Amino acid sequence: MNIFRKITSYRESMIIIIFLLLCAVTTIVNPAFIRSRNLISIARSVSLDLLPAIGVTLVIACGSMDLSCGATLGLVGIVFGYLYGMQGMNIWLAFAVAMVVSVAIGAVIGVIVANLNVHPMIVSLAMQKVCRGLIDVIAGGRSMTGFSDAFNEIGQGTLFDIPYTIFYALVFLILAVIFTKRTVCGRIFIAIGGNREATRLCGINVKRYKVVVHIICSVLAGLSGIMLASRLGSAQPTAGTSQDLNVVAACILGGNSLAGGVATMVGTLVGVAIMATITVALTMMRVSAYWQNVCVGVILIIAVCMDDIKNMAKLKA
Amino acid sequence: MENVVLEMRSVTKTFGAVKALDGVDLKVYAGEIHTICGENGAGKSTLMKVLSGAYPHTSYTGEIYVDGEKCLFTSPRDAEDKGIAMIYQEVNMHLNISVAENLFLNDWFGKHGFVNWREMYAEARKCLDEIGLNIDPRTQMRQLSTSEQQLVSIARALHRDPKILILDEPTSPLTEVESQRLFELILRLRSRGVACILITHKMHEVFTYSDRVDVLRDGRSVAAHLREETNEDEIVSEMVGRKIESYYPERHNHPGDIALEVQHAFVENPFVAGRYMVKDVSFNVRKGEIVGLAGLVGAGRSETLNAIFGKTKLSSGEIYKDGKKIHIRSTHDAISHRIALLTEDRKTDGFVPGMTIRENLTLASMKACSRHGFFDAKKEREIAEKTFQRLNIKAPSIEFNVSNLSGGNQQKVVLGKWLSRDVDVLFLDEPTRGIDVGAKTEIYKIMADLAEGGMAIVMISSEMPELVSMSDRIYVLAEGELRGELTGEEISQEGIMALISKTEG
Repeated sequence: MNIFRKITSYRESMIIIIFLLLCAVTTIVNPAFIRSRNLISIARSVSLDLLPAIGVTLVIACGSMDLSCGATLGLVGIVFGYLYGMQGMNIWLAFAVAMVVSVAIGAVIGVIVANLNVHPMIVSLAMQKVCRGLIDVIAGGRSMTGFSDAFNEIGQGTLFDIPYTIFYALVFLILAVIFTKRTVCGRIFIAIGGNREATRLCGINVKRYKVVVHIICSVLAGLSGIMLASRLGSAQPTAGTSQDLNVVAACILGGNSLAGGVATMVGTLVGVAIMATITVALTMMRVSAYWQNVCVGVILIIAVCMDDIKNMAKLKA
Repeated sequence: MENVVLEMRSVTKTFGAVKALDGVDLKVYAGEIHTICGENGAGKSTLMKVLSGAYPHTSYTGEIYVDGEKCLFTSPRDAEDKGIAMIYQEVNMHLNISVAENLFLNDWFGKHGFVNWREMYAEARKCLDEIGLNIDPRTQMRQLSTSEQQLVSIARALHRDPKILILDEPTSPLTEVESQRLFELILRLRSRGVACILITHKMHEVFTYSDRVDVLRDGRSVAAHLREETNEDEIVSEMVGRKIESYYPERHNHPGDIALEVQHAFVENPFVAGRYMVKDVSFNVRKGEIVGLAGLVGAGRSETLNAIFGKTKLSSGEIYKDGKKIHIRSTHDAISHRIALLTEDRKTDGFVPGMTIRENLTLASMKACSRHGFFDAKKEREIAEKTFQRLNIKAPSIEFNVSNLSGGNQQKVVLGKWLSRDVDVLFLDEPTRGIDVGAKTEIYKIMADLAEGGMAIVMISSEMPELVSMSDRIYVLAEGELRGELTGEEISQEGIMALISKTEG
């Protein structure tokens, strides 16, 4: 127990230290960083990215990959916005249709990945294109508006100055931790990522679980898309463009192994926090917006290398 | 006459806080077969990796002298240049290219970046003839059996005409006949003056072929003997550090009713339509009985059990469990009929690395330790703890990561995964491959106990002594066909070999 706990705590404590260092350095350069309004704004952007990150964490733990969650987020937001805002459809009906779209996207990726020997990266990348294309078909470049104030309140409301979205994210985070640590389904996802064939030989229908994990991921991305629409008061065709890769970067940064078999939700949270803070920190340190993409890319490369080095160290031990 | 080709002096190598080698000395003479014995984790492979340059000279302390000259290897290439060739335990070949290309990897024939294929194939033919392997050098590596691949890797090492040849458990993927052929080759090399360093777990290899035996335990040299001056018991007790009374447990055989009966099983080759790897195999196993499946690698033994378990597809054939006909379409079906399979290679499809012992032990019985999809932590711990104790798995606790266990204990975890649930019929495919003597005897003891408790066990093994000692009955397979059945007094290595070669050639 002790050693296992030590190793896992190390996995996350390392990245937490990096996160705190990042905050400290930014504060020294620009004390405005530590102001509560700024911190809340960072937390809000974390809360919006956390849902897809939870989904992608599960997918990666299961030994698969999804590069389409940003596009899914965007498409589901647009579908919902179009039906509810522009067409005046009943909100629950619109929500149901949006969820059906999410499930469909996940199911398509999942069924292909589970049954054919195609790399999930390619499948989900192609799916990303399909979703982005559909966004343009539906929205034609316009944003979808016409939401009721009550709906906008879901994403814009605050309690003691703390946005609701942070509470939603917290609930989902707790559910995700329980899911990975306490449920059979969560354990099976991790087992499949750790050793697919051994898991199959235990009588577990691996293909079915692969489909399920992709559906969960897309649904979480879809929910996040609707949350974002509510937060902005409109569904934007450009929503989620950077998330496809950023979310994966956050997961790997948080200590989830690209090789599969590991799922740390706390790590994912910190990973998402770092990604959100970096953008703000760079802005506050007056780094040009053009350079920020470069930074994110470099961080992803470092995270992936660290993951591989860790895996190699484990093999040697 | 006594000509020292290799001397290693007080080699010490540490991984983090663990001392894998602690001041090991080794002296090897020209023209001898020098065996290094030791349990898994004793440091044999580490020592050989130091010698072959796989660990650069800066990563350990101690000295290596080849022909009296001090050597500092920074890569395997350096060691090769000094005439040291190593054959690894696991075949490491490029499966997608031809045999010839593998043989001459890194120095293909030709000039100016072009390969002279004709010359290369001719040379490859010569190399293969030398080790008596009759295959076309143009064949793609992947199409060879594991043992043929192993032989090719040996041919590759020999092509460089080494002074010192290191063989790390070379016979573990080989059958008896192939092993014998390999040792004939090694003996020929010895007479040419090559020093052969052999690492093996198999005692009969030590005592039939080697001239000198060194024993390692916990990273230290414990003893060095001339073969004539020692015996099996002494070596084994030096390896283990204590005396092992008897290798195989006593068996009390009370077979009951037939637990599983297989009739006319056919398994098609998944890569070649219309070719069968298993042809019309029928067998049965009774409650409380251990039945052995004997045969060479590629005889169709694993293929038969895998297909019955639903791991692969059974083309045709009937399966009866307790007299009732059953259908198995997936591993799930097999498990729900209380059949279990311990696969040949625990790393590829046995345990889940990165998970704890507890999580691995309950992997096949998650239903029993959960309610409505949520784990009952207490119940899961109970089930895991029970198996953990029962199999005497050596680890600090059930929360220990399986990846950090020794091979023998990993094997116990994989076996424990099945014993955590109710199993009537247990298939064991090479249950003791690559595990040390101590763990082997424990596995045998567990098998005997399970049979005593009424379990029906079917075992595949390439180690004849193990098969002969443990089985109540033996079916012999060759080329995918059933060649015969041995019972009682007929069970012997000679009996098995006679059946294997009966209709061959």
